[in-house]
Order: sequence, then C-alpha cells, then structure tokens
Amino acid sequence: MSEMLKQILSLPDLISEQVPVLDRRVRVAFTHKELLSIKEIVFTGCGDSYFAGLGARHFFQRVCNVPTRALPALEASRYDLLDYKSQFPNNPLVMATSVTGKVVRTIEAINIAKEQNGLVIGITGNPEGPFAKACGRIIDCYLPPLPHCPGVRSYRMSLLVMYLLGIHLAEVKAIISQREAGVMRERLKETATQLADTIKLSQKKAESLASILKEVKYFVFIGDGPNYATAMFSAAKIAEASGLIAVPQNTEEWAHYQYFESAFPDAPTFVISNEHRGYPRVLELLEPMRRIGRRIIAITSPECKELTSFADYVLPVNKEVDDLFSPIVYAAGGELFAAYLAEAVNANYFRENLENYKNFNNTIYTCELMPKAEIKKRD
Amino acid sequence: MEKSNLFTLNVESKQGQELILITDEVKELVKQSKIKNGMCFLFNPHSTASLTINSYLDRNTQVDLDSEIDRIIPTRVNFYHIVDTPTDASGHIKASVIGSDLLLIVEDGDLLLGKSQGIFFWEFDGPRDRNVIVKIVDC
Repeated sequence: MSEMLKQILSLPDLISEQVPVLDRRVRVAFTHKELLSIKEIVFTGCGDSYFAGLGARHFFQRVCNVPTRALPALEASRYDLLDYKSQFPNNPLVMATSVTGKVVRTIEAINIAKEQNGLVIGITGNPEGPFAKACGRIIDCYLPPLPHCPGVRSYRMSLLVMYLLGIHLAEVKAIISQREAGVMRERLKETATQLADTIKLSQKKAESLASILKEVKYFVFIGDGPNYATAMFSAAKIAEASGLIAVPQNTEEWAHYQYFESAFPDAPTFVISNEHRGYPRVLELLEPMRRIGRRIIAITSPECKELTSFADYVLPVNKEVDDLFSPIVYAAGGELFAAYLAEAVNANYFRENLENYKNFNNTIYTCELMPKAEIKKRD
Repeated sequence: MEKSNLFTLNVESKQGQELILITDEVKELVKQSKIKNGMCFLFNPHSTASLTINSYLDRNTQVDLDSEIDRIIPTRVNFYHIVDTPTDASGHIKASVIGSDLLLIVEDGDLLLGKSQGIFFWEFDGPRDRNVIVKIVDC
C-alpha cells in the first residue's frame, strides 16, 4: 500500500481524534472582545493551506455573517492587505496557515497584516518555526511526522481548525446558541464517519479508474462554493503525486475556458458536486461536456441521480455530508484517484527521483521576505 | 429515577435566560416519597443556572428578576472565561450569586411554602436540557 493511500485511510480516525483536541485550542485563541470586534476575515496561505481557506470561508459568511476572503499569500501580502487598511482596529482577522511553519510568503503576509493593524493568528504544525514566531499567536496543529507524501492530513487539520473557529465565533456572536454550536461540532465530527463511508464506497472505483486512465496526461477538476476548494485540492494531488497535468476550475468558468479546449477532447473531467447551490448549473453543463467528447467522472452523492446517471464514472460520496463541511469529505475521491494513479504510472511523489528537482537550495523554497517599504518601492 | 427518595427532575429551558416554575413537579415528588414530615433538598448540578424562591403570581416579577440580574451582572466582553460565550461567562457569576440549592420543609406531606412563593429554576445560559436533583428525607 502506498504511503499516500495509507494516510488517506488514516483520515477518519484523525478527524474524530482531533476535533475535541483542536476545539479546546480554538476556544481559547481569542478573547470575546476580539471575536466580537471582527468585521472581516482574510484566510491566506500557499497550496493546500490556501485551498483550506477557500473551502472554509463560506462557513464564515453563511453562519457567522462576516465577509470572508481567501487569498493566496502573495496576493495577501503584496496587494490586498497592503493596499487596504481597515477603518476598524484589529481588522481584518488574518488567519494564515503554514503547516511546515516555514513558508516565507505567508510569513510576509502576516508581517504586512500586523503593520496594517490586523488581528493575526497562525495555523501551523510547527509551533517553534519562523511562521509561528511571526504570528505570535497560533493554533498548534502539530502531528507526529509520517513519511513524506502529498499532504492529505494537514489539509483536514487546517479545515477543522477553521470550522471550529467559525462555530465558536457564531456562538460568541450569539448567532447560534451554545446548544446549536454543540450540535454543529458533532456534525463536524461526523464527517469522520462520512469520510470513512466515502472511502469505502469509492476506493475500489478510484483504483480501477486509475488503471483505466493511466495513459491520460491531462485532467480537469471542477467545483463551486466550498467544493471549488476541493477541485483545487484534488488537482494539486494529481500534480504532486504523479506529475501529470491537472487543472482545477470553477464550475461556471469551465464553460468560459476549458469548454474551448480541443487538444484533449476526451480529457477526464471530474465534476465535484452535491445537490446544493451549484448543482443546477452542473446539470446544464453535462450535455456540452459530453458533446465535445469529455469523459465525465462525477464525485457526488448517490442522491444526485441526474449527475450519476449521466456520468461515465462515479466516485460516490456519503449522502449525509453537510454542504458547509463538504470539503473534508468530497476531497476523498480525487485524492484516492491521485494515489492510485501515481501507483499506476509508477511515479515518485514530488519528482524526488529527478535530478533537477533535488536541489532544495533554490528559489522555490528559499525566497526573499519583503518588508512593506520594499514592496511599496516597486509601485 | 428514584433511589431512596432521590429524584432527578428534568428541566428543559427554551430561552437564553428564563425562570422556570417547578413547584408542582417538586410537590409531586414529595407526594411520591410518601414522607409526611421532613426536609426536601433541591440541588442544581449546573454552573450556569440557579434555584430560587420568589413570587409566581405576577409574571412581571420574573421579568424584573431577569432584568435586574442582568443589570447587576451584565454580559460583558472582557470576562476571562472565554472557552464558551460571554453569556455563559456572566451565567457563571449569576449562578454563584443566586446559589445552586434550596432546603425546604415538608409538613403534612406537602411543601411548606408561602402563598405567593414558587420554586424557580433560573436558566442563565440556555436553551439547554437541565436537571434538578431532589432528595427528600424523613425527620
């Protein structure tokens, strides 16, 4: 069994164990005064850390009534946070994620946020690292290290922290009662069971799909709302695990972009959708997808019968999944497929076998941290 | 649950803060205990709720009690207890000020209460499912 697959199979236990642990940390991260003064939230990070914010931000808007953006760290540090200073003290809340605790661009975003009088907190698995030091205040997500492979556990840890903070913020703002918050925390914990069921339903199918598609070099993942993050995350897992081309796209944007691509007419197109807001648009796009030759793989609940009956292949998802928490569970199909595809094409994760990827003393990992004044000089 | 005249009374609060009259339920337990003369001890095992005795005749007395406890112990944003909510934090203070138990006299198989007095469960951090433990002893 591959390392990536092992770690995917460990996810349900990880979630049930970590929800109460992280909940205790999240609840003491901010004073009530701080929470009640939040008028805007910015999630930032790179890669999976950015995707997690994209997935969780809808919860904060829908449940907490707080405008919430997710920005890649470069956009946050050198554009959005730099160009806009909130008129309110301690705003926006900038929640930055760096699992390794070393990502320079995210540290830069934190530094800029502080200079702009934002309230900052870091989510990190490295409480002693430079990112934690820059943040000053963190939520510790340390997990004992496992062999290096495309990250699936850290993504769930980041999502859990974000959702738990959202639930706590909603109860402190008295939008929901403590009882309702308790129910919501239980629902979050139930994603462990839903994920276990989803893995059970889709593991064999993902394995056989990887075998069918092992000659393919180009994949597309589409999603919207919370599952736009799932599309981003799933595509990243293909690239990280096997080095093949995987493009994430917003459901609507597919019709304005990938629809015109004819280089790979039968490109496998993973449609990630539940029965919620984006579903009617998904259904409208199925016919054009089929007409131009795409192979449609649905990552969806069996309840979405129009989608499952139209798709060429289905990676089923447990039908009980709450839309707001769906990124935790809906990521299973794509990551399982990515793990099996890497096996099928005999790929080394992260191209670690290739000479030109071995030099870690390069600008991918070491880069310049620019202070505000230096960034401004470039205007 | 009954074990040597030990009872648990279920109280379901429906609002964040409210006074819930439980006199009839406690009287029923006294009747069930078959104790004619003794003591009835009520214990509230929650830290954001209390027990109190006050007039049940005019609903506005309860409104006054609610508004006055809020005036004395307002919900603030700078409590040190931040694990839960600001109302929960103030609820802890209110619970300690009002108290968590009552000791009542049982006489001729009934509670010895004043004409206008009722027993109230005072919720400070609802809605929740609560309990009151009732012990009735012969003496």
